[in-house]
Amino acid sequence: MTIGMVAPEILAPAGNLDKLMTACRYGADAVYVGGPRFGLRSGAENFSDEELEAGVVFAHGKGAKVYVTLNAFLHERDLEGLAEYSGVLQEIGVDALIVSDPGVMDILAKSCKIPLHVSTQATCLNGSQARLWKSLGATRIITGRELSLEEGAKLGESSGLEVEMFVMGAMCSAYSGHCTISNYTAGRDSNRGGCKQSCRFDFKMDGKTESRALMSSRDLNGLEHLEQANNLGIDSLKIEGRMKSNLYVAGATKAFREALVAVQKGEEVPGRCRELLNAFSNRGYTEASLAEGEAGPESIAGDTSQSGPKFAWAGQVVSVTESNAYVQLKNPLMRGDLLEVLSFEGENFFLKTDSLEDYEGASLEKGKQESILRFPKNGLEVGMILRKVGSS
Amino acid sequence: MKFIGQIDHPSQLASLVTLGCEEVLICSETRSQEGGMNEAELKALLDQLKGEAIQVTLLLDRRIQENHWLEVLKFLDSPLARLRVMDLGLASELNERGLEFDLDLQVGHLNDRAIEVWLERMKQIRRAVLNPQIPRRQLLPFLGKMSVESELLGFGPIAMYHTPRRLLSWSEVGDEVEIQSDEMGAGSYPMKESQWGSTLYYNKILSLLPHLRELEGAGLSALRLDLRKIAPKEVDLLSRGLREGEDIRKDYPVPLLHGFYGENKSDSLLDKIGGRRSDISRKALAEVLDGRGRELLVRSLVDDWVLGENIFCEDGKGRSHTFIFEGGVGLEGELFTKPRRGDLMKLRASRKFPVGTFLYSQKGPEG
Repeated sequence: MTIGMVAPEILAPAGNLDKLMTACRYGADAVYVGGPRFGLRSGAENFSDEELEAGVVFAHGKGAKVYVTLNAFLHERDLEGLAEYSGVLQEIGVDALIVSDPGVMDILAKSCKIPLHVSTQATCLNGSQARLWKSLGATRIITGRELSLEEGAKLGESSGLEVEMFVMGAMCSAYSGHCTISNYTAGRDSNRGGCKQSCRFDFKMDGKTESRALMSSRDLNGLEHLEQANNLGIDSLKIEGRMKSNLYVAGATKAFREALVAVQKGEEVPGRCRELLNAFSNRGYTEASLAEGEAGPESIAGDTSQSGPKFAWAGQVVSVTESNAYVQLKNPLMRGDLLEVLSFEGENFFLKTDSLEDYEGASLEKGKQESILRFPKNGLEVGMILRKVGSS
Repeated sequence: MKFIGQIDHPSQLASLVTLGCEEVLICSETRSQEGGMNEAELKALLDQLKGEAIQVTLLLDRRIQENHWLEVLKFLDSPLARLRVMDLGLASELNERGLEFDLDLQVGHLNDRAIEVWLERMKQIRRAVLNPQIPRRQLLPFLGKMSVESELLGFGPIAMYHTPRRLLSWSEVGDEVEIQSDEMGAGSYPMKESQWGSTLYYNKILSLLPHLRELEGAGLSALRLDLRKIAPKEVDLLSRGLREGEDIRKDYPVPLLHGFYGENKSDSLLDKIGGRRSDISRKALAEVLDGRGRELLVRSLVDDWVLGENIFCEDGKGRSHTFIFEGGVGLEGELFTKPRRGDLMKLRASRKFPVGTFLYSQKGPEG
């Protein structure tokens, strides 16, 4: 862990190549992605080797790193091919592998030279454990979400390892990696990609009629603790959400990047950073353990409802020419809708849609989802995300 | 193979004797994740066991956060009896102090290598407590190879979930309840709270009684019997099951199951999520953004297109198709013979492809 002027890394989720590019454009220092095997997010799209290679080239071109998750707890037969796969990843040029299984760590440490990060699934909560992982070849600990920022910093100091901590997104209420509800009740291995999210269910207690989401954690939001994380020298600040949309990846990455820039300058966190995070669908936000090291009652959602997203994802700029920008729609768009463009840096700007055109210039009343529309360039850049904020 | 009785109250010692346990695993309120007897009860029990032939182990299975580290070291400074730990940091500390201990590997550690890694690094491990989810075909040969004693939960509740959050206190419903969810079927699941958090148990009891002979033959050193919730008449039943091989399933008040022993329900999972391995030499050139007949609007993902090269892709049904790259036309009519990453262009293709299709160079998707 490095304490001083070095800013923490902003580490963003990338469920696919598009999200990887979005994260890098909106200021991520690094992204984490899943390969097709050995990871936890079987529901995410994940990367083929070719997509991963393209992603690494793109990220490195932006000065960002790419970490690959291999963080399932594996049965004996599942280890087959792991060493060979690590060779493929090394050839592709990934920057680190995220691992929770000591058997996997041991094989990787012997089969490749890629830095190894210990996953939050390993529930590493103290320096003694971190040093043990270091003896296996680990270079970074992704701490359990139960730790405060201060504890994370202590763990880093005592182990000499880099420390990465979650600051945003959905979280297990159990010790991550230790829950087997899905295994026993649904025949799905929660620690090999099959979690059924049973902790999100409504439960009745002792047969009473009233039910509540007894175990469902609110979503983590550590934006207000960014200054502390920066001052403590936490090496990497992680945003959860490989299965979330491009809009989320862009907004969350932009919010934390700009907040960190402000904190580093000794300035207030810009209000738009809070607004960006508050606009996402969420279960209610909590700081969980980040401040005190112990999550309180307010960390539990209590009901299964989520606040809906305040704004729909309208689309993304996929190309620009000298005078035009081409936007791929992610939701239908009507003539007259008002769009907000998430700029890569600084204030967002707005786009009125008094007229709509398809990419060949034909006039439209309505743009269909996934269609490509043409707009005047007006500050739009490739990769910018647009959200629909209303109708004029 | 010896039997170990796990208890959280001194009154359960009688059950332990009835069942012929040679060892006792004691849960206490300060050391154990699920709570247990207080310090006074613990000290009295330890006094009572002095001079007896029963081996004593204290369960210290709390996960230790950095800020609690020094406070927990007192349990290592004056351990009272041999310790069983789950936290790998504590295990490492015990090892460095040269104190023999048991290591609880019931979470994760599903492959032989994962277990051996810790056994190689910590020579003071006397016994490894194995994960009951290791399938039989893997477990039996591994038991014979283990360099330290092995232990399995042989009879007792299955803790599926533990959180340091005090869910029941916060809901003001006491410290033990049964919870039900329509989304988890008709059963009720016991939940219990200690000062270290809340634990949810499965609604059936794990019982490996029908497999004792096989496990012993394979070299299992110890079978743990969790006696914390067993009434005296159930102890008699359990005793008959252990000693006489009686099938107690029909008489036991809670359904029994052998869990993952014999068959791992989720063994095929990796097969489901795998299957996309491919050759690194296959390179994604472009992604289809729109298709109008055989004219595709694509976004280039690379800088190194070659005129005349073969382009491969899969349609929505997984069938491979090829066409030749003869240059593309930009959205404003410009010609692309060497497109750059991010360029949008229209391509003449062999057919229409769905939005999101990747176009590849060199080999087809089957490699």
